[in-house]
This record gives sequence, structure tokens and C-alpha cells, in this order.
Amino acid sequence: MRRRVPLAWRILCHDPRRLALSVGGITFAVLIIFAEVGFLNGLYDGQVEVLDKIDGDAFILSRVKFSLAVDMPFPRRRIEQALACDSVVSAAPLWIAGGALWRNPADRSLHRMRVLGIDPGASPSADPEVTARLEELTRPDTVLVDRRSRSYLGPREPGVVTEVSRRRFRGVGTFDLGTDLVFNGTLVTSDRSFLEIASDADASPPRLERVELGVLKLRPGRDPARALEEVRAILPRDVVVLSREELVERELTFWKVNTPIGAMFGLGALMGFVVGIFICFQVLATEVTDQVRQLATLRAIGHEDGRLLRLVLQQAVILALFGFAAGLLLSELLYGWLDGVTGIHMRLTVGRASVVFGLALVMCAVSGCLAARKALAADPAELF
Amino acid sequence: MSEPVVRARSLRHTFGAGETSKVVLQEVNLEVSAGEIVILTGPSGSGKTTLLTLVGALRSVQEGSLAVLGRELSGLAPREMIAVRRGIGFVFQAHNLFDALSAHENVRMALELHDLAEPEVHERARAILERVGLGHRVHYKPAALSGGQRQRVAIARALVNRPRLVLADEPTAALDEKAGREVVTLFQELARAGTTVLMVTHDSRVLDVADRIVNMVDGRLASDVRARESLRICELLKACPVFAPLVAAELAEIAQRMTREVHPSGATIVRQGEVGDRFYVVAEGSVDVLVAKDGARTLVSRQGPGGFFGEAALLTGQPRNATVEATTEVTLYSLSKEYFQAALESSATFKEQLLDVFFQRR
Repeated sequence: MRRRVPLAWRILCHDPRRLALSVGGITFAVLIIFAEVGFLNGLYDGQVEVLDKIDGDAFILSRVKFSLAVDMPFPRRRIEQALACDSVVSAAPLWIAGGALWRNPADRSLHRMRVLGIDPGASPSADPEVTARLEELTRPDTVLVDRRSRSYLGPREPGVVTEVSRRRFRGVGTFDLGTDLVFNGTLVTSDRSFLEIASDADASPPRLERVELGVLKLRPGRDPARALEEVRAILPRDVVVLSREELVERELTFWKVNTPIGAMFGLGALMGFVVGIFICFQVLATEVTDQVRQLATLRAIGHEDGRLLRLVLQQAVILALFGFAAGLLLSELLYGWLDGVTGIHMRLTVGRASVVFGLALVMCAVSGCLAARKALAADPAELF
Repeated sequence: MSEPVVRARSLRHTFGAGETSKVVLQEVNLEVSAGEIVILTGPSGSGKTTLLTLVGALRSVQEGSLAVLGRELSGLAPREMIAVRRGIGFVFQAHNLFDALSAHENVRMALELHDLAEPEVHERARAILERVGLGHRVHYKPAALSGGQRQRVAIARALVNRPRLVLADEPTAALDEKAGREVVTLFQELARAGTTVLMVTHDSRVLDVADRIVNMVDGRLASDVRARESLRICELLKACPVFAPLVAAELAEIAQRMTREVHPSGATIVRQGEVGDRFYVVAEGSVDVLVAKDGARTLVSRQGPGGFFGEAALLTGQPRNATVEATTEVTLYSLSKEYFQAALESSATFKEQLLDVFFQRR
């Protein structure tokens, strides 16, 4: 085995202060990318976050309901019809109204909130905090309040008493959901209370016979795609039946097509990327310029261009690794802070971190190639 | 005799193109044999550096032929030039070491070029550093070494692959006398082992190690003197009363610029009436100085070793006033008109002496 002198590593480590500054610059760029990617994904995630709180394999919804954020109910009877299908274990109704009016108990200001109505006897909730409070929800005029609702909604702790859609309600618990592009916060209440709130908020009072979502649980061990086909076959054409994945996909597509979120934050991430290229190029070009005679000497004594290219690219990759590692750690802090300030849930998944890592790598590789051109311009004939 | 390590034939090189082009080398012919130490001297811009870069395969040959280590460089592809460079040791004026690497690692950068097993790489780098007297500084970084030590690391890097040819550019310029002496002594040891050293230097302290001193002016080889011969010329000139006013350094300069010529018995060296452009000193053998007048030839004088002729035409600018013929096989050292003039300018007493001789001879 031939062992090469780790020249790239040695050069970078030779001046620790310079290395720290260089890595700092790249970390900054990586952090910008992390923030933008975080916002981008956080906003999209927020639109389907409510589905994470619902325990169901598939959903029935009105054929005309184009987004979870709009109220387009369908007849409750469809849910009972679905139950007739052998593959369906359970089917629970979920009532949703986007226009509940919440009065801030502290300063009396009014704010719009989303309210989810569930049947406490057949709760589709997947949230243990909600499930634990079902008993309390059966009492009239009680609500559970989203703890992560916007701060201007005021106090929300259990025991708080305030007005929701001009009726007195008592908060009997909290849960975590978060805000999204449309809603400042969410309430969970029983079907009865939902009727009180929603009939007041809406011009045409919805009856409990009209629901927003039917939450289906499919029999385990069956092919889900075939099960859905069976359900679709027995339900009339005024509703559609979608698997959880299909519904998430459809909802995200709606927001991607109808909002400039992708362009806004994508551009932001691109800016971070470009800034990163500049910073990294500056760092590498300075190293190359400082050692141009040494590099020319390498060429003079017979090293090939590839060796010089590798030298610069290795430095670029090392900087990318350090910059990414530091950026990853800092982004955890940044996400936590932004989460608290904005209520947008910034999730860092392995996939997303990998995307940022890929960007950081490409960023440094591009600047490495640019800087390598300078290295390859080092003319050994000038040394004599 | 074995093939020369460097052989240049009618080598020409031009920088730039069109109106602004500048000829830096013209008709350079040079042969360097194995084990020779050749010092290239000459004013800046004389083309010696260009010659060194051409020999080092750092520049492409434009016109003429240049063979280095048995390989013709003219028309080589860049990749092939890199292969040639791997067989050459380069020592630059600056050490050009990586500050971030230890002496050992800097030397290893050159060893990476060859496919060697790790233990051998390690050992060869250590051995060469020991050889240049840095066995105790193997893992020091350049910042912790003195100027002389750094240059010795650079030399170790150049020598570690055991090149048959070493090209050095002012290797002693940045060093004090002692360190400079160490460097050239190392070169002498190498040369004894058969390595050829081609060195550009202006450092008069190290000229004595040269087997040959090649002086370049305006892209031509102005003189190519075997240094030992040069010493002999100095002795010769010193013995000559007319050169007595010149100090040793001036004599050495003239000696370096003189060209050796050998003529068979009976040959005509200068002819009366021709334009005179050289000055001659006789080293061995003898010549007759003959003046033709009214159809008759008169022997004016016979010059043996230490004698000189040819000064009259150079002093007066008139045609040759006599014919000189070899009476035996004769060895002469000749000096071109411009160097002769330069020697005159350098010493007024020398000029007076020569004029004295000139008037006496009339």
C-alpha cells in the first residue's frame, strides 16, 4: 500500500486560526441553506401536520375538497357505507371548521382558529394528550387548545375560560400541533360542542350529518391498495377515498402549485449556496496563491495536473465536511429557536440533512474546481 | 565515450510573436557529459535561464534539437515532458518547501512520483536528509530550520530520486559562505558518482567547483571554458609582462572569455589586409609574424608560449598589418574584439602597456 503525504490536510491544519475562519465562513453558508430548507419543509409539513394527529390508514373526503384548509363537507352516511366493506375495521367522522373565533382571555382580542370536532366515543385521534382528555371533552363547552398556537392567542392552560364563537368555553387540556400558512392555531372539541361553535361561525349551519373527513382503519394484513379499491367501489361518486400517502401527496402538491413557498425559500437556499461558493473559493484561492511557488515546484518535479486538482479538491471536501458538521449542530439550535418564534415545526430528517450535505459538497467542489484552475496556472518555468 | 547527458544542437528560442517577439536563444550548441559540473554564467537576459528551463523540460523546444538523458525533447507531448522531468533533480533559488510539511514529508512529495513501498519511501527520505546533514532535523518544519538547512531540504528533495541530471538555479544565492560551500561540496560528491550538474550562478565563491564555465551573452554561448584550462590561461597571462597591470579577477575574466584554438603547422591564422576581430595568445608551439611589403615577405618576429599577436588591428581599427602562420602545431587562446576592448577599458595601465608594445613593433 502506498501512503501519500496528506498534504491537503496538513495545509489546512497548518494555520488553525485561518482554518477556524474558513470553516466559520462555510458554516455560515451551510446554516443559511439549513434555515431556508427548514422553512421550506416546515411550511409544507405544517399543511399536513394535522394528519399526523389522526390515527387512520385512509380518508374519505368530498370530491370537491381540494385542500384540507377549506371546508367542503360530505354526507356522514358515506362513513357508515364504508364500514360495510370487509377490509375496513373502523370508520370515524372528523368535523373541521376553519372559522372559529377565539377571544384572547387576557386582552379580549379576537382571532380565527381551526376547530376539530371528534366523537369522544369513537375518537380518531392519534395524540395521546387528546386521547387522555376524551372524558373531559364529553362535558359541554369544553375545548382542548393547541399549545403551539400563536402567542397572541393569549393564555391557553387547562382551566382557562374564554369565548369561542361568542360562547363560553373552558380549556380542559392542551396538545401540540403548531401553526401553518392558514391557521393561527387549533382547538379540539367534542362533536356536540363543535356544533355550537361551527353553527355560529358559519352562515349555513352545518349539521353533524355533514363531515369533513372520514377516518378509516384498514384490516391489517390486507393489501391496502386493494382494500381502497373495494371501498371506492361501494361509495358513490360524491366522495373520494385516499390513502394517507395519497392525501399527503395531494395536499403538498396543492400548496406547491398554489404558493410561492418553493420559489421563495428555494431562492434563499440558492443564495446561501452561491455565498458558500464565494466564501469557499476565497479560502481556497488564498491558499493556492500563498503556495503558488510550491505548487509550481510540484509540477516541475513531475507531479501531474491531477495531483494538484486533487489537492485543492481534497481541501474543498475537508472544508465542506467541517462546515457541514458545524452547520448541522448550529442548525439544531437555530431550528429550536425558529420553532419557538414562528410556531413552524422545523424538522431535521436524515433525508433533508443529506440534501444540505450534498449541497455543501457541491458548493465546495465547484469552488474547488475554480481555485484549482489557479493552481494549474502555476508555471514551473517561472521558478528558475 | 558515453552519450552526453545534455546535447543541444542549433537551439533557438523566441518569446512572443510578430513585431514584439524577442529571440532569447540563437544557435546554441552545447554538450554536457556525465559527471560534469557545468556553471552557466552571463548577464541577466542572456538566455541562460531559458536554456535551463528547456533542458529541464519545463518549456517546449521551438527550433533545433535538444536531447536530455538520451531523450529528444523537441516535439514531446506535455505528458512525456513530465516523464522526463521525473528523471531530473531541480534546485531552485528559493527552497519552495511547504511550510505545513516536515522536512521528511517535503522530501516524500518527490518520492510519491515513483511506485515505492512504504518502508522504502520512509527510509530513502530519511537517508537523503542524513546525507545532506539533516539527520537530526528530519521532522522539523521549514519555519524551525535555518536558511541553509531549508535549502538542503530542497536539495534532498531534488536528489532523493537519484537523478542523473541536477539543474540548479542560484542554489547558493540565499546562503552564507559556509552553507553555500556545503551545497556545492554536495554537488561535487554527486558528480564523482556520475551525476551531471548544470548550475546557473553568479556566486563567485563557488565557481571553483565547475569543470566548465559556460558564459552566455545575448542568447549565444560566448565562451565555454574548461575551468582547469581557465586557470592555466591565467597562469599564462600572468607570465606575460603586458598583462601584469591586471589584477587576478580581471585576468580570470579574460581567461574565461578566451576560446581555445588549435592550428596545424603551416596554417595561416591571420592574413595581412583582412579585417582584424580577435586577439591571440600563444599557449603551445610557435608562430611567425610576417609582413608583406613590395612583393617580399619579411619575418618580423617569432612568438612562442606567452607571446601574443593581433592587437594592432584591434587598437587601430585598421586591417591586419601582418600575416601570422603556425610554424609548429600551435595552441592559441583568442579573445573577441569586444572583450578585448572591455579589457582595455578596465585598466588604463594595461592599455598603455599594450600601446607601448604596439609602437615598439611598428
